[in-house]
Amino acid sequence: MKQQSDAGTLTGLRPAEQVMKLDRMGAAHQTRLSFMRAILRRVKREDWQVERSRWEVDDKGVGFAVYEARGPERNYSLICYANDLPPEKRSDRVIATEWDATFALFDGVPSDADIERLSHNVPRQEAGRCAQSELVLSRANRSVRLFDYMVDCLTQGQQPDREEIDKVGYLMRTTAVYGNGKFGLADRGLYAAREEAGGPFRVELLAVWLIRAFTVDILEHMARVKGGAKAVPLNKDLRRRLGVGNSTGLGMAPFLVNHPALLNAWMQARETAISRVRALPAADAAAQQRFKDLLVRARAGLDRWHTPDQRQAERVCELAGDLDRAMGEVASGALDRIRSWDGLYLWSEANLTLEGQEAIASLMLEPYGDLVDDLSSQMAADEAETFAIDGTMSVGRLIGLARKHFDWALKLDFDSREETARFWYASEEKLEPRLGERYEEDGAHLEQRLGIGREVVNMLAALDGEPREAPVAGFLLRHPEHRHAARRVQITERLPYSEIHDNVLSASMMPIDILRCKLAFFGATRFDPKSDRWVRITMYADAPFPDEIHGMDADDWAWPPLEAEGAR
Amino acid sequence: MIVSLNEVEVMATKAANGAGRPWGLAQEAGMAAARLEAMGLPGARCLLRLLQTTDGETKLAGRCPILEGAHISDLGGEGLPASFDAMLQPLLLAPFLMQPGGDATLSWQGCAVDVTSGGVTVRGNSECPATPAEVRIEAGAGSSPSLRPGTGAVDIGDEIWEALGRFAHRTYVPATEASRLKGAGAGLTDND
Repeated sequence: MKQQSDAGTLTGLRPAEQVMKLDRMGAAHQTRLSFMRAILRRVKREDWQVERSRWEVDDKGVGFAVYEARGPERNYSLICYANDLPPEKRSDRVIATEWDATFALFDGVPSDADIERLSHNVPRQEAGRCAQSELVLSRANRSVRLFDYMVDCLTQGQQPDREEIDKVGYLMRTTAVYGNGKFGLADRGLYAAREEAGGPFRVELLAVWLIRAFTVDILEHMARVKGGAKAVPLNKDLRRRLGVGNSTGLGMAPFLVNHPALLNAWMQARETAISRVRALPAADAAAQQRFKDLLVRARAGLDRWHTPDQRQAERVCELAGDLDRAMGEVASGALDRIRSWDGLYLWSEANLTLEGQEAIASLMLEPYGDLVDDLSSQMAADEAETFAIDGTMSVGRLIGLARKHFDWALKLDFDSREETARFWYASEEKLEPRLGERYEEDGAHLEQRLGIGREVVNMLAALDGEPREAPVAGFLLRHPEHRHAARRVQITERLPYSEIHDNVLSASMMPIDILRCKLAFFGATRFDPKSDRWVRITMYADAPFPDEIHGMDADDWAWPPLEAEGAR
Repeated sequence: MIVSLNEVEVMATKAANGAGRPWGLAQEAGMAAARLEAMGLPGARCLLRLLQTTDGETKLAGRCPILEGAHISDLGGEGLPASFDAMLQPLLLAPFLMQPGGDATLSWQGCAVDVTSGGVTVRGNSECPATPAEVRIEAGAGSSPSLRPGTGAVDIGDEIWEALGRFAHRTYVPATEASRLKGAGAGLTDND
């Protein structure tokens, strides 16, 4: 067992060559550190109040609403524009032009003039323009099947079937949640120093939590329009089962590759949390009980993880078996031993699938909020801080670092078709990131430089004849095409989890592995791949709504409560 | 066109890449243009002039401020003083000098820019010169800068933005129906 640094304990952080492999990244689960959970813990701790301050929606469901979220320092308002969308226009591709509802998160409280200005821009999404007073731009479409069914039920004064709700899990799904300066929105720099907004994706996911409230309000509104006095509001326990859906395509993959410092910060925080728990000398009775309860809940929650995708469905099935085995292991006294968490984790590595191992690693953190939750405030990163290249480094040292950190890439044959089968590019149409087949399609000469492994291998070849003691600056002045690779090698020396240790150009690469890793950090659940490069997920399912969060536990939802508990 | 700083950086990076700068250097061009704009200086315009005058058949001879600026940045303080007989768009050098402890003064005909890690002070005319300039960079006195990077949106002239957009456009791959379906991987309907 390795020596390690964090807290001076004996258990090391899992190394990058293990956790940065795509197959393991593609088995990631949400954890206590996931952004949605950190947001709701703050909302509760700081006693944020959310009020639906405007509701101007007509009988066709067209109009606008405003939800004001009032924190201790500032207010943030979700402005919602509701639309009556004909079915033929309902596309969940990022290239759609009209949606059931569109949203902006406003910095403060919007005036009538703001609402009017944004009504000409937010419904047009990418074709409109926002201003620095807007932090987030988003849109969503109804799950027509569930929305219509639930409107019918409530209209007739009946509650919908729980099973019908669980089949879909959300009333609307977003197809994009934009932030950080896109389409004229406020730059992240404007709010990065704010405690409540400076963490990664805090404003984007605050917007999604408020969108969730809107999706139910518009449902109940339509039921009242149709049913009048006969209509009833949705039962709160059923309501809580609803999340917000999301369709995520390839765009997130380039994001992760192009933000090495951010990726490192996320991974470092999660791995530090896992190592802290593994280093504990013993599991006390309360922690054991909590873990056992959540293991049961995690297992039961799999019944609501529906996916027609064969690969993922098999993995969910295997995960169920893994969790059963883990329950057996725990029942046989695994948690009563010395350093039992470390023991249990190592047992999972030897006995479970990657899905199971990562689920155990996440569940182990659950009893230990006091020990690990502080790490959720260390997950932001400024790429500018690691952008500058140290050109005084010798060529020999750069070669050494490249060989050390990219040994995985040096084992690959980048002259083979297999390892260069794909190329990433931006499409002319809507500038959507796409993945092409290098040997079948045109456009590879315009590929984006996401294959960092190949870039580094190419740089090493070019460095071959350079004097080892010379500073690398001279080489880079003559060969600026290798600046990207040199920068990434130097970043990796400082930030060990900054690179995916797999070739994203390979024929066997699954883009959804990258998407899943990122979405798990967000706090998403129920990954439902629609192809190798596109996935649907659920956000905030089982989480408290704004009008109930102060009366219940704000952080006990991500592993869904059992049915009996759900009726609290 | 009112744009965010992130939009400036993304556009400038793509434009530089579209104009033939390799990716790592294009990122540096994006950083430089956005950092100048954040201080109210014409970073986008200078970059556009640079790309225009070094594009196509009739290239203007002169040193590239992105390449040379990146080199000076690579060397930390060790690259100074430096001088160049013919530097294109010298203002673009300034962002590369904004390093901790590396105060410097950048000067050319009619203009001097004092640079610290926290911002710059411009003395004289910082307009983009039409011809290559003789440039000197010396260690500076570390005066308090009059311009510091802001966080708000900036106004870029429409013609500049569109011209940068034309360079950026060269990096896009035309869509086909096959790539629309296969490349993005999504279906076409959302009615379930």
